[in-house]
Amino acid sequence: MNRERELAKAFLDLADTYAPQFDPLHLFDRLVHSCRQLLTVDAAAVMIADARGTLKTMAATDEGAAFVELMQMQTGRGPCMDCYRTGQARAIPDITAEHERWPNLVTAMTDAGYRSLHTVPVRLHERTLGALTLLNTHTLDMPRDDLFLAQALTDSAALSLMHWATEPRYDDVTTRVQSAIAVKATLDIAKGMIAAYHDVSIAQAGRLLADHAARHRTSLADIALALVNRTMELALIPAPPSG
Amino acid sequence: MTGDREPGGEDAERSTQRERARIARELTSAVAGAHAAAMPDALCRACVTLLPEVSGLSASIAGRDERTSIVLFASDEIASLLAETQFTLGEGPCTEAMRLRAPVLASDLTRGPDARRWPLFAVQAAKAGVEAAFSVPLAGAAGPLGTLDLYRQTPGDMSNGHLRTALLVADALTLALSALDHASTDLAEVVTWLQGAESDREEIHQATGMIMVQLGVSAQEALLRLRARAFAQDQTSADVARAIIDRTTDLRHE
Repeated sequence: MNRERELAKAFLDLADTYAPQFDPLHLFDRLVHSCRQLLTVDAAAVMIADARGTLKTMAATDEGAAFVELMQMQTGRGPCMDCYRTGQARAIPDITAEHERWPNLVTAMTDAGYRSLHTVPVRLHERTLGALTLLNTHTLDMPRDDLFLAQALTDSAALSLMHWATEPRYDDVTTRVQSAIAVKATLDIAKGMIAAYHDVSIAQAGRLLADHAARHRTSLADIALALVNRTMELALIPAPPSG
Repeated sequence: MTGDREPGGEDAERSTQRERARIARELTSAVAGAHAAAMPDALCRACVTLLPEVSGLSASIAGRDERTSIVLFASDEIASLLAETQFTLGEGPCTEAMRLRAPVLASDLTRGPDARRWPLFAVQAAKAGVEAAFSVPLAGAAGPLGTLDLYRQTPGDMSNGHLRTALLVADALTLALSALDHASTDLAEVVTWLQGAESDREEIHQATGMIMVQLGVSAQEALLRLRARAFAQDQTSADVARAIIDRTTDLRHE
């Protein structure tokens, strides 16, 4: 597929709020994977601010433990939080240059294999909801066109999150965002259930759930809620093929 | 861009934790020494102290059936009436907060869009002199247990700081109610668990799911067990959660 078609498909996927599997989890997942596919980045993650004050990771392309740790250490402070608070994109072409400011972050990033970090704000018109992070394994000054595209994809995702028909109210954004955060929490519980049930890692459990949702063309959020409420049997999520 | 509407201090996690601890202290001192029967009123008084910018508040617990809810406590007649009205009409911020599992904020019930959104409720609210209503779900791990409903006699937004406090009060209240459910007579347990209240990081949710399967318990029970282990080992819930995920700790053993 050529570049133009890839771009068109990416935006269309983000706009398709009528798809049977549409839910905020799916939306953020599409966003990070589109960034990974279309831009010169090695990993992407999106964090959204909980009204309680901290950032929550909604989706990431890298499921490795080191990467998860890298994101989890930024729930309270760091470049993502700065991006969220200021609403301004941030560029760190070489993380090792930040060792005085964020020594722990430098260690975590290099441990995870990454060297540069760029963040763009997740925003809905005037309001910042969180931050999208783009990482590379080598030092990089991300081209302006790539940053522009990242911002455009992110803006599309934020609009889709709202998916509003009638009269949008400022407070409706709060409700929508908090609802998405609640859904993500349910997904995390479901991942734990599957991880224990099939004796796999959290990351693998996440993949099993996502595969099941895609195969049955249902929303991941619905499946997660059903598992946690015990209205769906864990056995219905098949174990990974052995070997 | 930034200003009163943006939450978070230097380290947002620490700042939120301090706020959680402050709230836990207030609820703990209200609950300690109260008889089981006096518990709802004690919790009510604590919530009123913690949320001074509202005119009144109530907490409701959802019944098994979506339509049945009971008012656990109410700070005054108006709060009680508002809650009952929403159950009767099946319409209002609290029914939506339950459905969406998210706070629903109606900052001005005297005119559209809020009035248009809940026409019947808005009329009843106006008769009671209520012009703004905010409903926060009591978010149990698997779904809301009920709602914490706040109202004001004057219209206006809830600031980010107040919203954060309301969410954290709802979190603590949820924990207190889960613990009460579990503890039945031993109220000292409730205090213990309230004091251990802390963040809701994703690791804690994931570990909760694992415990649900390992011990064959509900999400609420699983979370309580996790917190109990953290308390017993003088660790944070996040530390215990990570150990459970890494399989270096297994609540089935010991």
